[in-house]
Amino acid sequence: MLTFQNLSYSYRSGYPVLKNVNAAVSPGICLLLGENGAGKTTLLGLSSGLLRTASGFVEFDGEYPGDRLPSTMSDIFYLSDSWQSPFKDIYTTARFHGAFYPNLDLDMLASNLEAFGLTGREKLKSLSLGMRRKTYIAYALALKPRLLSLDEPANGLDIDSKKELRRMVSRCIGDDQTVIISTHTVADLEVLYDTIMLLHKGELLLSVSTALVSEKLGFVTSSMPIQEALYMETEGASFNAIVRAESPYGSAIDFELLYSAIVSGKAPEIIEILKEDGKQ
Amino acid sequence: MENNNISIHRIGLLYKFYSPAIRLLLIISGTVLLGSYALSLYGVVMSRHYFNEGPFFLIYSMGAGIAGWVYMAGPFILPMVSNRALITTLPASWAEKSIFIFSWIFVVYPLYLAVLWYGAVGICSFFTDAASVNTAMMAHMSEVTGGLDVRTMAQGSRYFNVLSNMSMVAVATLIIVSVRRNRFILGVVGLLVCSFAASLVGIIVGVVVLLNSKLMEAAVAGAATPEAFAQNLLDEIAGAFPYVGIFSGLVLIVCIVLTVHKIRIRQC
Repeated sequence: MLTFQNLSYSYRSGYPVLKNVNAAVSPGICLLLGENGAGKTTLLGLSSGLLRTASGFVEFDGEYPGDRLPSTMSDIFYLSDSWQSPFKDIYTTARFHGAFYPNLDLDMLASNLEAFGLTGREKLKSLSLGMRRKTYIAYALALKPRLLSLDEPANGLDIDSKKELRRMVSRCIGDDQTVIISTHTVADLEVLYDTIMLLHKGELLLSVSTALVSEKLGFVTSSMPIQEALYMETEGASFNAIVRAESPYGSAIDFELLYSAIVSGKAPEIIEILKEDGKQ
Repeated sequence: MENNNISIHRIGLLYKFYSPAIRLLLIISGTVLLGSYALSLYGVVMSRHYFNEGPFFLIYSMGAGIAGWVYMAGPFILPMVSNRALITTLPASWAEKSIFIFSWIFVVYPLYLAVLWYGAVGICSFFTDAASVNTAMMAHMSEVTGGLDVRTMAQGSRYFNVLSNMSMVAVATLIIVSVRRNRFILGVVGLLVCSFAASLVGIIVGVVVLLNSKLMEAAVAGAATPEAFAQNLLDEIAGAFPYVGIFSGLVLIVCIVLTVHKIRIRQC
């Protein structure tokens, strides 16, 4: 269990990036949503021990990532969008860097690379951004850390690779692993998310399971305005709306619509509905 | 679950992690060191042959100087791995990372250079009695200067140089683990600035020693022969080395403490 308690963070400039964040993330795949500058990367940095908490704390299974103890760090991996291996290829990376991670699964690495059409012997410096990203994702998943943070994993990936990434994440993540995925393109992995965290201007506005969202809310697209809508947006000639789940509508969660509804502040009842059973 | 006590295994893994950078440095520094030894040897042999005519002493000095600089390249394996986030989150404690860094720059790397240097001395000693270049040059200088005993001076200088070089390496290491960008370049700049500062300290100490001594009065009064004056001057300077050594030692200790602190905060 990853826990954030009264977590606030400011950089040297004094600008508060995170403000009193409280949440508990269970094992599974967590979607971290927020606008640019919302504090997503900072939250991932704090979760992975890259940054140290100044106020409040981050706890992962009883240990504090900020302490950077080997026992904790060997269970945590953060693939930031700027992560780069200093080694010539990914197998060399696995040999020199992966040696610190006791769960590294070389067979999984080989199969992940193969699924992306890579051999693992390609020189990292000569790969395109997308190919390098695929290589690193294949590696990050094969490290099998109990807490894996991925910052924009689908960035630079083509359509087929995004599909493959979805399959790969689904295949590689075990029941005891917690994966936090920060992305702006939620559609890439949307069927996989177990929980959603929504950050806005450093504040955590929402942290719920997708099961609860599905149970409480419905997401509707219609050519006519929907009377029961808790929140509605127009897109061309169609209306996208969030309704109560008991309405005779409903579909898969539209994360972007949910994000807009919460961040706009125009539908405070949505948060109230999700809070009703105290799980928020 | 991993054990959080200091682990030799993880220190070994750190050596393994840095091994591509280490290998590259060993190849480059080994080549440069052997080249500088060859240069020094050539300088000594030719100085002796031509009895100090020509620029051969300078060639010897250049070789010896380069050898000293090679030692200072030790900490530059750190910026060869430029991804600080990767190193910060590497599953090794700050103590293990500190042990790795200091054992590398103060033990393993100097040992490697010493093995190479003395290996070269050993091999060359089959061919020339000047193989031990520093000793041969000292003996030659004594001969050239008509019996001037430079051993005390050279001995003191050697200890001072070791401490001075160690403190310069410690400063470079501190800079490299402290700055976030351009770690390689700033480390080199730090070394150059330190070298300049060390020269400045040497000049200041030399001037202070000279002013405090009675040598000038003795020379002016004609009470000293040039040989005795030179000998006394060398001995006076050699007497000041412990103070310079203490200064270098203090710099070394402060840099080590600050470096460990930085590693503890940022773990690079």
